[in-house]
Amino acid sequence: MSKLFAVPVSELNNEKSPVDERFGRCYAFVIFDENGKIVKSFVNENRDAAHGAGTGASGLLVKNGVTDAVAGHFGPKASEVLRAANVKLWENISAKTAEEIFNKWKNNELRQA
Amino acid sequence: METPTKTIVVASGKGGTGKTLMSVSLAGHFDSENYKVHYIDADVEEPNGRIFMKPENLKSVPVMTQVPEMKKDSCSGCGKCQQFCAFNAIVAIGSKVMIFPELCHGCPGCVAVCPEDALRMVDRQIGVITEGDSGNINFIEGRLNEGEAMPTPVLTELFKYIEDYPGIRIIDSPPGTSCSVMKSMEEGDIIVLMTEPTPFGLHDVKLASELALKLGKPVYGIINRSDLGNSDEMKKYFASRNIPVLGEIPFMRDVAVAYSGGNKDMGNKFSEKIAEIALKIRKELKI
Repeated sequence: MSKLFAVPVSELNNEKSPVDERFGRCYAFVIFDENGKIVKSFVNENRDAAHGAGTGASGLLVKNGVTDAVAGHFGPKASEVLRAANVKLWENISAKTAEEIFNKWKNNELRQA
Repeated sequence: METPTKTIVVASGKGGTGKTLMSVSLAGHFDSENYKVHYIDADVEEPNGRIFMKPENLKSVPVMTQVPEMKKDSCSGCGKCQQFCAFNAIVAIGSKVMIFPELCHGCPGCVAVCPEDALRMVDRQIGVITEGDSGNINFIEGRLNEGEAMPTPVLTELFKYIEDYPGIRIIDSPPGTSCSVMKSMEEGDIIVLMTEPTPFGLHDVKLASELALKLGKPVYGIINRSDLGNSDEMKKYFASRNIPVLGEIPFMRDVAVAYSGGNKDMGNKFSEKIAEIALKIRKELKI
């Protein structure tokens, strides 16, 4: 099964998109395939939700077949949803752009969250 | 004494200004004048009135809400429920759904849009209403269970519960200007805002005042700890909005000591202040 890697970003600028520290309330998501090609990117409509931003964002990723996701921090509801869907959670360790974090993931430099 | 039914809502804006102090004290005062009094604790997220009222002969009624649950073990995972839900309370994962009851508003749109009839609504307890006697004063408390995120269903039940209670109803409202406060204010014939003459007190009482005025309610102010800040600025604000000030209570250490011990006997000086305020309230309520 091919992997799809989701990165929360604070601006949409393809691979150069700056990584957003937040998950549920990030501005947008960029999704890479294993070769580093961006297969999808979309604005996160859940970011202004009063509650359930995490469940909403996670639901979106699950719907798009994401297998791996990275964030500075995953909230409790987001974690619950993603783990139930068998999405691997990775910790962001100070990568600045989507490209950088993808490469770290690809080279096994990330720690599981 | 037969009293026409009147509801006094004690609110504030800033927390810790003396809502419970005033509510409990007014209840005691009107009771001493032989009115039929009900003390209602509407601060359902942290009800504290019972510490002072010490009610007996308690009886409780659960407050229920509704949430979805799956009727069967699996579904197609189509996600129509997830798409519909405005609160992100239901997520489709593989061949079933994950439900977050504390986010659910009980609408029950997910049940309606599910193409497989895989969901149904079930009851869930989120809080409790407790009634008791505090001497001749009737005590009613709304309480939201710990960990719950939505107080308004408990308030709806609480106000329905006291709907026909005759006499003077004193609603000890939550702090702030949230939905809970708005709901509480809507019940009032008058709204009494307890505040303190500090920058935060002023800032927040302005918000509470504007809310109350927007609801079309008669609004009054009471300045607590009036000698510990800039009361003039506060009075100027109230005057600018035609909000009469019912009283100014200076800081009294004895009151603070009594209150922190859960004791509602605050001494004579304070009782006199309460009597003055109660008289003005009676005039405004025409009772």
